[in-house]
Amino acid sequence: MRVEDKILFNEIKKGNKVVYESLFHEYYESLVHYAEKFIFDQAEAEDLVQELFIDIWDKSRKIDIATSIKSYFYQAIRNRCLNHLKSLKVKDKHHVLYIEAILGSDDEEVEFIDLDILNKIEKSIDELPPQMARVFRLKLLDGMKQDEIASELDISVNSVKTQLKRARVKLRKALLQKTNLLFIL
Amino acid sequence: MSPSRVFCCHKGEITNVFMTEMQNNIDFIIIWKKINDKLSVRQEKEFNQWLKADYSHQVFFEKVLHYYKTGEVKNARDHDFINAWKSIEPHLKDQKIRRMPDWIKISASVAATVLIMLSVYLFVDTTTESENVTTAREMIIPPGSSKARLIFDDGESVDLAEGRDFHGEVDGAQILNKGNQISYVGTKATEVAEVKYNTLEIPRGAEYFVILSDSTKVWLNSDSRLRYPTAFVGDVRQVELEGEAYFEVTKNTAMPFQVVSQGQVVEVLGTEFNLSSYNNDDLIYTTLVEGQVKVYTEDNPELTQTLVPGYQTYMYKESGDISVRKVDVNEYVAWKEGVFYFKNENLENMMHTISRWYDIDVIFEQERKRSLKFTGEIKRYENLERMLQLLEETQEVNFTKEGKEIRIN
Repeated sequence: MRVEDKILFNEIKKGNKVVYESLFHEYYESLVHYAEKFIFDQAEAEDLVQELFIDIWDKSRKIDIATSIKSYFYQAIRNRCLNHLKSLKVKDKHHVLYIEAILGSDDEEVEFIDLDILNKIEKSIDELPPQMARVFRLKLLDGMKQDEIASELDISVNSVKTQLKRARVKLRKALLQKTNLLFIL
Repeated sequence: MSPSRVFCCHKGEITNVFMTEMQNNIDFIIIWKKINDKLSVRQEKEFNQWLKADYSHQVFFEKVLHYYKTGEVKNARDHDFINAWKSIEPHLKDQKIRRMPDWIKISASVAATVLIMLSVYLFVDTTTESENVTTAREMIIPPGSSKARLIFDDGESVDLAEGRDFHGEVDGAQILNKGNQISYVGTKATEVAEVKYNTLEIPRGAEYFVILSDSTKVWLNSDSRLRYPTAFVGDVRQVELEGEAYFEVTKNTAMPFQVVSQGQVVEVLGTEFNLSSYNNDDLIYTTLVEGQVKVYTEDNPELTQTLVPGYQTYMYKESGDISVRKVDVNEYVAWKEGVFYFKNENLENMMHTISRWYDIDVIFEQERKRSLKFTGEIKRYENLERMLQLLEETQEVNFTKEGKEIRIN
């Protein structure tokens, strides 16, 4: 665990609400977007994320984070989304929704992606046209913001947006074909 | 856990349970195929059954449909982040602030430098004899030895130790105890009328080795328990573990091997891995050495992490979250080869491991010593004094010993 995260989380354990509020502002929005793609419901996604923040505050003393605060929150919200789906009698054995959430999220880091899925995604990215692949890699694997990608590749923000959108459509098809294949087998 | 699901003899009932489950829960891929018009007749039927089962399912399906048509979540509105915080803030209970030791009450920037912990290297020169070490302080604390208690299905038990060989037929199995190991031999699943369970209990300061009826080998570390059937029947080989063990699972693709441990399930076909799940630890660690394993929780079996060699899952018992990381496998399996191997490990965790093996109690007189980090390796079969002496040579810690109590200052 990174030293900064350790200090931050120790503050939370001690009951420092100011630190917790800044953490909330840092992650809330992207966690909601992530959850949304899992359960297709914005209001419910917001509820789940808010409940998560309340529970983590309550239990913070007992929580020992080994990776990073961020990946802990993402893992936890993913669990809650799956539980929500369970109540609707839906399961995600083939990670279709997980892939959706990863593709659709605006804030991603490799560390909380399942290795199996990451492999599949990487293979599918390789099959994209070169520029599209470059944009998507910077976004998903390096976690860069759209404007950062634009200046890195010296293209407009709009064209980054278009490339990302097209990449997602193509990747979704490719990935789901791969999962589909597994499903049939 | 429900061993009955796997081992129960009333086959008819089990089938029914599975049937109803399958009819109720559908995989999201069926919904996705419905939207893309790719359902087979059988799947169409399954989908319709799910859809009709509850109104909430229909609402969900409409939302999914909307998302795939428009690329947007239905009824999305602008998020109101400021109010979101305002709405959860009153629910955050004020925590009683415990008095922290002075060193922690410094500003975050200074804390950072404090937290960059001392890394001290221990070197163990295996050629030096350990005779000169024996400071005539008092009683020597020897390392752990091969000891265990075997508990039979009816609750009767027998103490096992090196030199107490026996061979007998208990609970429908031929049990052979020889040297430091116990093995289940000569039992065929077909001969088993009723499944009987045995439990092997390893106390602190001990280790033991067991070969199960399918030839799977299990090395059990101190303070651990393994519960297993004397013969495997049904379609899954399932055992329960508390504590730490190294598994070398015999390959049988038709009958997966499952280790259930405090809500976590590790499922394998045939492979080698180490599992550490002590009660006083917040995490369960599963480290893969060879092959492939799946790790999931009993509550959330669809959220599976697949491990490849050199990686480890760690599950938070509290939340059931499972994450994966790359590790130095040696660090987690060295104990089985008779070595303590610590790599940038903090003293608190080291003392947990050491106290289980030497059956001692450890008291930290200064909180801050808990987080001192050490790297080094030493043979497990040395006396405790050798280990403590090496640690003292770093000049970072001092130990005082009173009987089985070790104070650190």
